[in-house]
Amino acid sequence: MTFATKLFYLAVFPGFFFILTGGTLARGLRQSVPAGGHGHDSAFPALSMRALLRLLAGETIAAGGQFHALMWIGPAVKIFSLSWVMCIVFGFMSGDLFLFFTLLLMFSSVDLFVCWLSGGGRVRQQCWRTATAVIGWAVPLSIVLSAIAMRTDSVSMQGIIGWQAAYGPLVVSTEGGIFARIGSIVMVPAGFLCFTSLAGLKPFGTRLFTFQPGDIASEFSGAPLAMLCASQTSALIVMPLIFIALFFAGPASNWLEVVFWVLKVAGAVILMLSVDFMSARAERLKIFYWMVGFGGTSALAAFILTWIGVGT
Amino acid sequence: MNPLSAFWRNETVVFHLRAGGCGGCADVVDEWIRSSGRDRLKTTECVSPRHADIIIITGLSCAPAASAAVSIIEQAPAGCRIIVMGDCAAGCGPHRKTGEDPTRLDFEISFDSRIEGCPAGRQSIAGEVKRCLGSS
Repeated sequence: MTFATKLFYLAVFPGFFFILTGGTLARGLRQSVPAGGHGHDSAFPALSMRALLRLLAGETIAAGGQFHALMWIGPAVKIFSLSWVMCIVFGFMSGDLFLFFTLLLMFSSVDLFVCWLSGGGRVRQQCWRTATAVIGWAVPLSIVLSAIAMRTDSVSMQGIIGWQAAYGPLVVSTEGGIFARIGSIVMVPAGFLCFTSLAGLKPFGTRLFTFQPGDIASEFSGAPLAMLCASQTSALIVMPLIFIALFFAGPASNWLEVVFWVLKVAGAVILMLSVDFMSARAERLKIFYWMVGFGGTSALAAFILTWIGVGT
Repeated sequence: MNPLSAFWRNETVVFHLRAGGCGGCADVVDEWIRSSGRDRLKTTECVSPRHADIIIITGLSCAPAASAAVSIIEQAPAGCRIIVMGDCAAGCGPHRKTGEDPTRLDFEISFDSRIEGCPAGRQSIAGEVKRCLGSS
Protein backbone atom coordinates (compact mmCIF):
# COMPACT_ATOMS: atom_id res chain seq x y z
CA MET A 1 0.00 0.00 0.00
CA THR A 2 2.83 2.39 0.88
CA PHE A 3 4.41 1.66 -2.49
CA ALA A 4 1.15 2.43 -4.32
CA THR A 5 0.72 5.63 -2.33
CA LYS A 6 4.21 6.79 -3.28
CA LEU A 7 3.50 6.01 -6.91
CA PHE A 8 0.36 8.15 -6.62
CA TYR A 9 2.44 10.99 -5.14
CA LEU A 10 4.93 10.76 -7.99
CA ALA A 11 2.34 10.43 -10.75
CA VAL A 12 -0.45 12.73 -9.61
CA PHE A 13 0.04 15.02 -6.62
CA PRO A 14 2.44 16.67 -6.04
CA GLY A 15 4.15 14.82 -8.84
CA PHE A 16 3.84 14.72 -12.58
CA PHE A 17 0.22 15.67 -13.23
CA PHE A 18 0.30 18.55 -10.76
CA ILE A 19 3.53 20.09 -12.05
CA LEU A 20 2.54 19.60 -15.68
CA THR A 21 -0.74 21.44 -15.08
CA GLY A 22 0.98 24.26 -13.21
CA GLY A 23 3.77 24.44 -15.77
CA THR A 24 1.28 24.58 -18.65
CA LEU A 25 -0.46 27.52 -16.99
CA ALA A 26 2.90 29.27 -16.51
CA ARG A 27 3.81 28.62 -20.12
CA GLY A 28 0.42 29.93 -21.25
CA LEU A 29 1.21 33.11 -19.33
CA ARG A 30 4.55 33.31 -21.09
CA GLN A 31 3.00 32.80 -24.51
CA SER A 32 0.24 35.30 -23.86
CA VAL A 33 2.76 38.13 -24.09
CA PRO A 34 3.17 39.23 -27.72
CA ALA A 35 6.13 37.66 -29.48
CA GLY A 36 7.81 41.04 -29.98
CA GLY A 37 8.81 40.91 -26.33
CA HIS A 38 10.65 37.64 -26.55
CA GLY A 39 12.09 37.08 -29.97
CA HIS A 40 11.67 33.72 -31.61
CA ASP A 41 9.04 32.20 -29.41
CA SER A 42 6.42 32.28 -32.10
CA ALA A 43 8.33 29.50 -33.85
CA PHE A 44 7.90 26.33 -31.85
CA PRO A 45 5.57 23.37 -32.21
CA ALA A 46 2.28 23.51 -30.39
CA LEU A 47 2.80 22.23 -26.86
CA SER A 48 -0.67 22.27 -25.39
CA MET A 49 -1.97 19.24 -23.51
CA ARG A 50 -3.75 18.26 -26.71
CA ALA A 51 -0.53 18.52 -28.71
CA LEU A 52 1.35 16.49 -26.09
CA LEU A 53 -1.27 13.74 -26.26
CA ARG A 54 -1.03 13.77 -30.04
CA LEU A 55 2.77 13.49 -29.81
CA LEU A 56 2.47 10.64 -27.31
CA ALA A 57 0.43 8.67 -29.81
CA GLY A 58 2.59 9.74 -32.75
CA GLU A 59 5.40 7.96 -34.48
CA THR A 60 8.85 7.99 -32.88
CA ILE A 61 11.63 8.25 -35.43
CA ALA A 62 14.40 5.82 -34.49
CA ALA A 63 17.80 7.31 -33.70
CA GLY A 64 20.98 5.33 -34.16
CA GLY A 65 23.41 3.90 -31.61
CA GLN A 66 23.41 4.63 -27.89
CA PHE A 67 21.29 7.70 -28.45
CA HIS A 68 18.21 5.61 -29.10
CA ALA A 69 18.25 4.32 -25.52
CA LEU A 70 18.93 7.79 -24.14
CA MET A 71 16.10 9.22 -26.25
CA TRP A 72 13.64 7.12 -24.25
CA ILE A 73 15.35 7.15 -20.84
CA GLY A 74 16.44 10.82 -20.72
CA PRO A 75 13.06 12.59 -20.76
CA ALA A 76 11.61 10.03 -18.34
CA VAL A 77 14.50 10.70 -15.94
CA LYS A 78 13.85 14.44 -16.18
CA ILE A 79 10.16 14.04 -15.34
CA PHE A 80 10.89 11.53 -12.57
CA SER A 81 13.50 13.86 -11.00
CA LEU A 82 11.15 16.84 -10.95
CA SER A 83 8.27 14.76 -9.56
CA TRP A 84 10.48 13.40 -6.77
CA VAL A 85 11.79 16.89 -5.98
CA MET A 86 8.22 18.12 -5.61
CA CYS A 87 7.35 15.22 -3.32
CA ILE A 88 10.33 16.19 -1.12
CA VAL A 89 9.33 19.88 -1.09
CA PHE A 90 5.73 19.06 -0.16
CA GLY A 91 6.93 16.63 2.50
CA PHE A 92 5.22 13.62 0.95
CA MET A 93 8.54 11.81 0.73
CA SER A 94 11.58 12.12 2.94
CA GLY A 95 14.82 13.36 1.50
CA ASP A 96 17.74 15.52 2.52
CA LEU A 97 19.31 18.40 0.62
CA PHE A 98 21.90 16.08 -0.90
CA LEU A 99 19.19 13.96 -2.56
CA PHE A 100 17.39 17.16 -3.54
CA PHE A 101 20.53 18.54 -5.21
CA THR A 102 21.28 15.21 -6.90
CA LEU A 103 17.80 15.07 -8.41
CA LEU A 104 18.20 18.58 -9.82
CA LEU A 105 21.59 17.55 -11.19
CA MET A 106 19.99 14.51 -12.84
CA PHE A 107 17.31 16.73 -14.36
CA SER A 108 19.86 19.11 -15.81
CA SER A 109 22.53 16.59 -16.86
CA VAL A 110 20.22 14.75 -19.25
CA ASP A 111 20.62 17.66 -21.70
CA LEU A 112 24.38 17.24 -21.50
CA PHE A 113 24.22 13.50 -22.22
CA VAL A 114 21.89 14.16 -25.14
CA CYS A 115 24.39 16.62 -26.59
CA TRP A 116 27.27 14.17 -26.11
CA LEU A 117 25.58 11.17 -27.65
CA SER A 118 23.64 12.90 -30.41
CA GLY A 119 24.39 11.94 -33.98
CA GLY A 120 23.70 15.50 -35.14
CA GLY A 121 26.75 17.73 -35.45
CA ARG A 122 24.91 20.91 -34.55
CA VAL A 123 23.51 19.35 -31.39
CA ARG A 124 26.98 18.13 -30.38
CA GLN A 125 28.23 21.69 -30.78
CA GLN A 126 25.97 22.60 -27.83
CA CYS A 127 28.01 20.39 -25.45
CA TRP A 128 30.18 23.16 -24.02
CA ARG A 129 27.29 25.56 -23.68
CA THR A 130 25.19 22.96 -21.86
CA ALA A 131 28.10 21.90 -19.64
CA THR A 132 28.72 25.55 -18.76
CA ALA A 133 25.07 25.98 -17.84
CA VAL A 134 25.16 22.90 -15.58
CA ILE A 135 28.33 24.06 -13.80
CA GLY A 136 26.88 27.58 -13.73
CA TRP A 137 23.92 26.68 -11.55
CA ALA A 138 25.43 23.71 -9.67
CA VAL A 139 28.37 25.57 -8.10
CA PRO A 140 26.42 28.52 -6.63
CA LEU A 141 23.42 26.41 -5.62
CA SER A 142 25.55 23.90 -3.71
CA ILE A 143 27.06 26.78 -1.70
CA VAL A 144 23.66 28.40 -1.19
CA LEU A 145 22.15 25.13 0.07
CA SER A 146 25.10 24.68 2.46
CA ALA A 147 24.56 28.19 3.82
CA ILE A 148 20.82 27.59 4.25
CA ALA A 149 21.47 24.28 6.02
CA MET A 150 23.94 26.02 8.32
CA ARG A 151 21.55 28.82 9.22
CA THR A 152 18.49 26.62 9.74
CA ASP A 153 20.54 23.81 11.30
CA SER A 154 18.69 21.34 9.12
CA VAL A 155 19.65 19.28 6.07
CA SER A 156 16.11 18.37 5.06
CA MET A 157 13.71 20.43 2.99
CA GLN A 158 10.97 19.95 5.56
CA GLY A 159 13.32 21.13 8.30
CA ILE A 160 14.12 24.30 6.35
CA ILE A 161 10.44 25.03 5.67
CA GLY A 162 9.57 24.25 9.30
CA TRP A 163 12.30 26.62 10.52
CA GLN A 164 10.87 29.39 8.33
CA ALA A 165 7.34 28.63 9.54
CA ALA A 166 8.59 29.11 13.10
CA TYR A 167 10.96 32.08 12.70
CA GLY A 168 9.70 33.73 9.49
CA PRO A 169 10.99 33.57 5.92
CA LEU A 170 14.74 33.16 5.67
CA VAL A 171 15.36 36.58 4.13
CA VAL A 172 13.46 38.53 6.78
CA SER A 173 13.85 36.30 9.82
CA THR A 174 15.36 38.02 12.83
CA GLU A 175 16.63 34.73 14.20
CA GLY A 176 20.42 34.55 14.31
CA GLY A 177 23.07 37.24 14.16
CA ILE A 178 23.07 40.28 11.92
CA PHE A 179 25.69 38.68 9.67
CA ALA A 180 23.48 35.62 9.14
CA ARG A 181 20.61 37.87 8.17
CA ILE A 182 22.76 39.81 5.68
CA GLY A 183 24.06 36.50 4.36
CA SER A 184 20.55 35.26 3.70
CA ILE A 185 19.73 38.41 1.75
CA VAL A 186 22.94 38.11 -0.28
CA MET A 187 22.19 34.50 -1.25
CA VAL A 188 18.78 35.35 -2.78
CA PRO A 189 20.14 36.75 -6.10
CA ALA A 190 22.43 33.74 -6.45
CA GLY A 191 19.52 31.37 -5.83
CA PHE A 192 17.35 33.31 -8.26
CA LEU A 193 19.98 33.00 -10.99
CA CYS A 194 20.31 29.26 -10.34
CA PHE A 195 16.59 28.51 -10.53
CA THR A 196 16.07 30.76 -13.57
CA SER A 197 18.84 28.87 -15.30
CA LEU A 198 17.40 25.51 -14.24
CA ALA A 199 14.01 26.49 -15.65
CA GLY A 200 15.73 27.20 -18.96
CA LEU A 201 14.69 30.85 -18.94
CA LYS A 202 16.75 33.68 -20.34
CA PRO A 203 19.32 35.10 -19.84
CA PHE A 204 21.30 32.11 -18.54
CA GLY A 205 19.08 29.12 -19.27
CA THR A 206 20.30 27.27 -22.31
CA ARG A 207 16.95 26.31 -23.73
CA LEU A 208 13.24 26.54 -23.27
CA PHE A 209 11.05 25.91 -26.28
CA THR A 210 13.55 27.63 -28.53
CA PHE A 211 13.48 24.78 -31.05
CA GLN A 212 16.22 26.44 -33.01
CA PRO A 213 18.52 24.37 -35.19
CA GLY A 214 20.90 22.54 -32.88
CA ASP A 215 18.43 22.35 -30.02
CA ILE A 216 18.27 18.93 -28.39
CA ALA A 217 14.54 18.77 -29.15
CA SER A 218 15.37 18.34 -32.85
CA GLU A 219 16.72 14.87 -32.00
CA PHE A 220 13.43 13.77 -30.43
CA SER A 221 10.07 12.85 -31.87
CA GLY A 222 6.86 11.16 -30.83
CA ALA A 223 6.48 10.08 -27.21
CA PRO A 224 10.05 11.02 -26.11
CA LEU A 225 9.50 14.53 -27.49
CA ALA A 226 6.22 14.75 -25.58
CA MET A 227 8.00 13.73 -22.36
CA LEU A 228 10.83 16.19 -23.01
CA CYS A 229 8.37 19.03 -23.60
CA ALA A 230 6.41 17.98 -20.50
CA SER A 231 9.57 18.09 -18.37
CA GLN A 232 10.56 21.53 -19.68
CA THR A 233 7.02 22.77 -19.09
CA SER A 234 6.96 21.35 -15.56
CA ALA A 235 10.25 23.07 -14.70
CA LEU A 236 8.49 26.42 -15.16
CA ILE A 237 6.49 25.83 -11.99
CA VAL A 238 8.89 23.59 -10.05
CA MET A 239 11.81 26.05 -9.99
CA PRO A 240 9.82 29.08 -8.73
CA LEU A 241 8.23 26.85 -6.10
CA ILE A 242 11.62 25.62 -4.85
CA PHE A 243 12.88 29.22 -4.82
CA ILE A 244 9.96 30.23 -2.61
CA ALA A 245 10.35 27.15 -0.40
CA LEU A 246 14.03 27.94 0.24
CA PHE A 247 13.83 31.69 0.82
CA PHE A 248 10.23 32.81 1.41
CA ALA A 249 8.52 29.80 2.98
CA GLY A 250 5.95 30.07 5.70
CA PRO A 251 3.33 28.05 7.53
CA ALA A 252 0.60 26.28 5.56
CA SER A 253 -1.71 25.13 8.33
CA ASN A 254 -4.92 26.75 7.08
CA TRP A 255 -6.44 27.73 3.74
CA LEU A 256 -5.48 31.36 4.03
CA GLU A 257 -1.83 30.43 4.44
CA VAL A 258 -2.05 28.01 1.52
CA VAL A 259 -3.49 30.79 -0.65
CA PHE A 260 -0.64 33.03 0.47
CA TRP A 261 1.81 30.30 -0.61
CA VAL A 262 0.13 30.11 -4.02
CA LEU A 263 0.37 33.89 -4.41
CA LYS A 264 4.06 33.83 -3.50
CA VAL A 265 4.74 31.13 -6.10
CA ALA A 266 2.72 33.05 -8.70
CA GLY A 267 4.79 36.13 -7.89
CA ALA A 268 8.02 34.15 -8.37
CA VAL A 269 6.75 32.81 -11.72
CA ILE A 270 5.91 36.33 -12.91
CA LEU A 271 9.27 37.67 -11.72
CA MET A 272 11.19 34.92 -13.54
CA LEU A 273 9.12 35.37 -16.70
CA SER A 274 9.66 39.15 -16.55
CA VAL A 275 13.42 38.65 -16.41
CA ASP A 276 13.05 36.22 -19.31
CA PHE A 277 11.14 38.76 -21.42
CA MET A 278 13.63 41.53 -20.74
CA SER A 279 16.75 39.52 -21.49
CA ALA A 280 18.56 38.11 -24.47
CA ARG A 281 19.96 34.61 -24.25
CA ALA A 282 23.53 34.86 -22.99
CA GLU A 283 26.46 33.27 -24.77
CA ARG A 284 28.53 30.50 -23.17
CA LEU A 285 31.30 32.61 -21.61
CA LYS A 286 28.82 35.15 -20.25
CA ILE A 287 26.90 32.31 -18.62
CA PHE A 288 30.11 31.16 -16.97
CA TYR A 289 31.21 34.63 -15.83
CA TRP A 290 27.81 35.58 -14.45
CA MET A 291 26.76 32.29 -12.93
CA VAL A 292 30.07 31.13 -11.48
CA GLY A 293 31.54 34.63 -11.12
CA PHE A 294 28.65 36.71 -9.79
CA GLY A 295 26.45 33.87 -8.54
CA GLY A 296 29.33 31.89 -7.03
CA THR A 297 30.85 34.95 -5.35
CA SER A 298 27.50 36.00 -3.91
CA ALA A 299 26.88 32.49 -2.65
CA LEU A 300 30.35 32.29 -1.13
CA ALA A 301 29.95 35.69 0.54
CA ALA A 302 26.57 34.56 1.88
CA PHE A 303 28.12 31.34 3.18
CA ILE A 304 30.91 33.19 5.02
CA LEU A 305 28.49 35.77 6.47
CA THR A 306 26.13 33.02 7.62
CA TRP A 307 29.04 31.10 9.14
CA ILE A 308 30.13 34.20 11.06
CA GLY A 309 26.55 35.02 12.05
CA VAL A 310 25.68 31.54 13.25
CA GLY A 311 28.99 31.20 15.12
CA THR A 312 28.59 34.42 17.07
CA MET B 1 -3.69 35.05 -26.55
CA ASN B 2 -5.55 33.57 -23.64
CA PRO B 3 -3.14 31.82 -21.22
CA LEU B 4 -5.71 29.05 -20.77
CA SER B 5 -5.47 28.20 -24.48
CA ALA B 6 -2.14 26.54 -23.65
CA PHE B 7 -4.20 23.59 -22.46
CA TRP B 8 -6.06 22.70 -25.63
CA ARG B 9 -4.59 24.75 -28.46
CA ASN B 10 -3.72 22.76 -31.55
CA GLU B 11 -1.46 23.81 -34.35
CA THR B 12 -0.34 22.28 -37.59
CA VAL B 13 3.42 21.95 -37.49
CA VAL B 14 5.05 22.84 -40.79
CA PHE B 15 8.61 22.09 -41.85
CA HIS B 16 9.76 24.28 -44.70
CA LEU B 17 12.45 22.82 -46.92
CA ARG B 18 14.11 25.50 -49.05
CA ALA B 19 15.97 24.24 -52.07
CA GLY B 20 17.72 26.58 -54.53
CA GLY B 21 16.23 29.15 -56.84
CA CYS B 22 15.17 32.76 -56.49
CA GLY B 23 13.50 32.22 -53.10
CA GLY B 24 10.23 33.86 -54.08
CA CYS B 25 8.06 30.86 -53.21
CA ALA B 26 10.06 30.34 -50.02
CA ASP B 27 9.29 33.87 -48.92
CA VAL B 28 5.60 33.35 -49.67
CA VAL B 29 5.62 30.19 -47.52
CA ASP B 30 7.44 31.93 -44.66
CA GLU B 31 4.97 34.79 -44.74
CA TRP B 32 2.04 32.38 -44.94
CA ILE B 33 3.18 30.33 -41.92
CA ARG B 34 3.31 33.48 -39.79
CA SER B 35 -0.07 34.76 -40.93
CA SER B 36 -2.00 31.55 -41.58
CA GLY B 37 -4.59 32.63 -39.02
CA ARG B 38 -6.11 34.73 -41.82
CA ASP B 39 -6.91 31.47 -43.63
CA ARG B 40 -8.44 29.96 -40.49
CA LEU B 41 -5.46 27.70 -40.00
CA LYS B 42 -3.14 27.63 -37.00
CA THR B 43 0.32 26.73 -38.15
CA THR B 44 3.76 26.96 -36.66
CA GLU B 45 7.15 26.28 -38.11
CA CYS B 46 9.51 23.63 -36.75
CA VAL B 47 13.22 23.07 -37.29
CA SER B 48 13.16 19.29 -37.53
CA PRO B 49 11.24 17.17 -40.03
CA ARG B 50 10.66 14.74 -37.15
CA HIS B 51 8.15 17.17 -35.62
CA ALA B 52 6.31 17.97 -38.84
CA ASP B 53 2.70 17.37 -39.82
CA ILE B 54 3.35 18.89 -43.22
CA ILE B 55 6.55 19.44 -45.21
CA ILE B 56 6.49 22.18 -47.83
CA ILE B 57 9.29 22.05 -50.41
CA THR B 58 10.16 25.14 -52.41
CA GLY B 59 12.88 25.85 -54.95
CA LEU B 60 14.93 24.10 -57.54
CA SER B 61 16.61 20.83 -56.64
CA CYS B 62 19.66 19.79 -58.63
CA ALA B 63 20.85 16.21 -58.11
CA PRO B 64 23.04 16.77 -54.97
CA ALA B 65 20.40 19.01 -53.35
CA ALA B 66 17.69 16.48 -54.17
CA SER B 67 19.55 13.65 -52.43
CA ALA B 68 20.07 15.87 -49.37
CA ALA B 69 16.38 16.81 -49.44
CA VAL B 70 15.36 13.17 -49.64
CA SER B 71 17.51 12.29 -46.62
CA ILE B 72 15.73 15.07 -44.69
CA ILE B 73 12.26 14.03 -45.84
CA GLU B 74 12.94 10.40 -44.86
CA GLN B 75 13.17 11.50 -41.22
CA ALA B 76 9.56 12.67 -41.20
CA PRO B 77 6.88 10.56 -39.53
CA ALA B 78 4.80 8.32 -41.73
CA GLY B 79 1.66 10.46 -41.40
CA CYS B 80 3.45 13.59 -42.57
CA ARG B 81 2.09 15.15 -45.78
CA ILE B 82 4.46 16.50 -48.41
CA ILE B 83 3.62 19.50 -50.58
CA VAL B 84 5.84 20.80 -53.36
CA MET B 85 5.25 24.43 -54.08
CA GLY B 86 6.13 26.58 -57.05
CA ASP B 87 7.11 25.83 -60.62
CA CYS B 88 10.73 25.04 -59.76
CA ALA B 89 9.93 22.44 -57.10
CA ALA B 90 7.08 21.04 -59.16
CA GLY B 91 9.40 20.49 -62.10
CA CYS B 92 7.67 22.86 -64.49
CA GLY B 93 9.74 25.97 -63.97
CA PRO B 94 11.91 28.03 -66.29
CA HIS B 95 14.47 25.24 -66.57
CA ARG B 96 11.88 22.99 -68.17
CA LYS B 97 11.73 25.37 -71.13
CA THR B 98 15.45 25.09 -71.72
CA GLY B 99 15.18 21.35 -72.01
CA GLU B 100 17.27 20.82 -68.89
CA ASP B 101 15.25 19.66 -65.94
CA PRO B 102 17.44 19.61 -62.88
CA THR B 103 14.54 18.68 -60.64
CA ARG B 104 15.15 15.18 -59.30
CA LEU B 105 12.92 15.12 -56.25
CA ASP B 106 9.89 13.76 -58.07
CA PHE B 107 11.91 10.68 -59.08
CA GLU B 108 12.78 9.92 -55.48
CA ILE B 109 9.65 10.55 -53.41
CA SER B 110 5.93 10.78 -53.91
CA PHE B 111 4.15 14.01 -53.07
CA ASP B 112 0.72 14.49 -51.59
CA SER B 113 0.19 17.77 -53.34
CA ARG B 114 1.75 19.89 -56.06
CA ILE B 115 1.17 23.65 -56.33
CA GLU B 116 2.22 25.33 -59.54
CA GLY B 117 2.87 29.01 -60.04
CA CYS B 118 5.81 31.40 -60.13
CA PRO B 119 5.51 32.25 -57.37
CA ALA B 120 2.54 30.27 -56.13
CA GLY B 121 -0.05 32.30 -54.23
CA ARG B 122 -0.76 32.02 -50.53
CA GLN B 123 -4.39 31.08 -51.20
CA SER B 124 -3.21 27.96 -53.03
CA ILE B 125 -1.05 26.94 -50.06
CA ALA B 126 -3.93 27.36 -47.64
CA GLY B 127 -6.22 25.33 -49.89
CA GLU B 128 -3.75 22.48 -50.34
CA VAL B 129 -2.83 22.37 -46.66
CA LYS B 130 -6.51 22.17 -45.73
CA ARG B 131 -7.01 19.43 -48.31
CA CYS B 132 -4.02 17.46 -46.99
CA LEU B 133 -5.13 17.84 -43.39
CA GLY B 134 -8.61 16.74 -44.34
CA SER B 135 -7.28 13.61 -45.97
CA SER B 136 -4.89 12.70 -43.15
